[in-house]
Amino acid sequence: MIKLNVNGRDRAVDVAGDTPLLWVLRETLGLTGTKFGCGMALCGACTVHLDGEAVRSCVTPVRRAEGKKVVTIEGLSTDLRHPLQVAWVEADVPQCGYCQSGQIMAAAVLLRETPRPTDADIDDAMCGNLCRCGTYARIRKAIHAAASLAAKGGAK
Amino acid sequence: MSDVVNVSRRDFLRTGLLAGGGLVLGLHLRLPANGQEPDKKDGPFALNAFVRIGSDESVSVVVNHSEMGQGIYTSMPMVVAEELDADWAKVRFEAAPVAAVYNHPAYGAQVTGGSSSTWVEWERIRKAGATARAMLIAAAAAEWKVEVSACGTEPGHVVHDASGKRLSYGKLAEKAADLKPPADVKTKDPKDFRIVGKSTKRLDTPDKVNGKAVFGIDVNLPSMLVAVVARSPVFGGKVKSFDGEKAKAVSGVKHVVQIPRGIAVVADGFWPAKKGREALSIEWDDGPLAGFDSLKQLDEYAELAKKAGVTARKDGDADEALKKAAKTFEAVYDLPYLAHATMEPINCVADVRADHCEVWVG
Repeated sequence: MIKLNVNGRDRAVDVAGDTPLLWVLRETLGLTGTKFGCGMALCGACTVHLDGEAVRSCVTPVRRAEGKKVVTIEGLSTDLRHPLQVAWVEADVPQCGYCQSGQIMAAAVLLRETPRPTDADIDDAMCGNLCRCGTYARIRKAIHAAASLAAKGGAK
Repeated sequence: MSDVVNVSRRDFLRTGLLAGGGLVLGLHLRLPANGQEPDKKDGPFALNAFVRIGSDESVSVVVNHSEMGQGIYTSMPMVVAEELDADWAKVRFEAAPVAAVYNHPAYGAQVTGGSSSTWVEWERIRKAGATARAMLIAAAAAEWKVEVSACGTEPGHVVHDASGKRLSYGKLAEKAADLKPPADVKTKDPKDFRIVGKSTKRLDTPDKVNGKAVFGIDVNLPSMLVAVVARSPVFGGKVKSFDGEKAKAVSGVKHVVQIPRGIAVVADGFWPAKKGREALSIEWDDGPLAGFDSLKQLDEYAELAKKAGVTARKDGDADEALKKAAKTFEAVYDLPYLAHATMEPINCVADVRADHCEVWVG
């Protein structure tokens, strides 16, 4: 059994230690908000937080998450009131939506490290998250909006 | 163009559909698209195949086209809500079950493609909205014992101007659903549109920013197995021979099966299936394209491009005009074959039973 904390809840999973965290989240724990895109850390759709850092869960063996805190899109907020979610809805960012969980999780780490990012900061931090619908311009707009919301004390 | 088909509430719940002329097809509707059994008392009540209204005033528009980012889960509800005169704040979408009434009016099957969804459904879903509105008005007129022609609507309500009476759609839905739909209804004059043509926030966004949106790849059934396929590295190639013993030895792998396009490894999860595939040893027969070389093919195409082709259209005398031109410009454009490279890997879930099979495709 491998023990880890997912979205604030202690979980024990009976899987091989080399199983990528992605499949433990999606198949074992039923958290399908985290997406499988490429399986090779190339697209960013599977981005989650591991002890606060953005990681590509498709290449992160679950044993690396043992005893650590994992946050997925489902754990970002329970009420759609996280500044990034508010900004994403306001800017109507998603089209197909498949990459958006990963985009938002990557953006959350960016805003923690750089509360008022420039366009260049955003492009640097987000260039590993691909979007085939091409929503990049709205993603940038929404990250700026979320930064403003957070600066005003959040969306709540 | 298909007519609006009235699916009575009871029939909808029992069979999931009624096709034109009351023909009941033996298709299954296990649960409504939202996965919850409708409350018999509070609805939602089906006014026709596209409109369902709940006692809580919710208006569900059943969308028979797939949402792929193009916005159909919002645009079809907008069109229906326009003619229904619904309160937009109460409008939501619901994915259509499989039923003949939901077939693409031009293609004849339940299919989404060719940038056709909005224009091809335009007339019939306007009628679906207008018909439902007429049924709500008829239900209110019967309740008030007044002429239908004396009643009108405001967003989400039927109103009787002479008496000032109002009834909400949610309160009228159950009675309206049992009425016979009118044979013909008038749709709005486009100059009166208040929803169509206005920039409107997408209805599917909230579920796409909290992980709740269910894509094909997210479908998970009890005791579901996962298969991955080892395919020929050359298009059109076939398996000459293979050894699946090492793959079968991978913990979690259940079956190794040869299929026409390669070898499928079936396991109790994606990861063991992938590890099983890596453990396969396959000898391929590369088939008719074994010697294919894409650079050589480009050269062939360049040669072919110099020959006279098929004339699709001929206006005037282009050769003569080019000869006389003061300046001419020549360029060769070539493009490689490209994969669509969808973010969601092509996938499919099949639930095969003795008497039916249900399929989800992502």
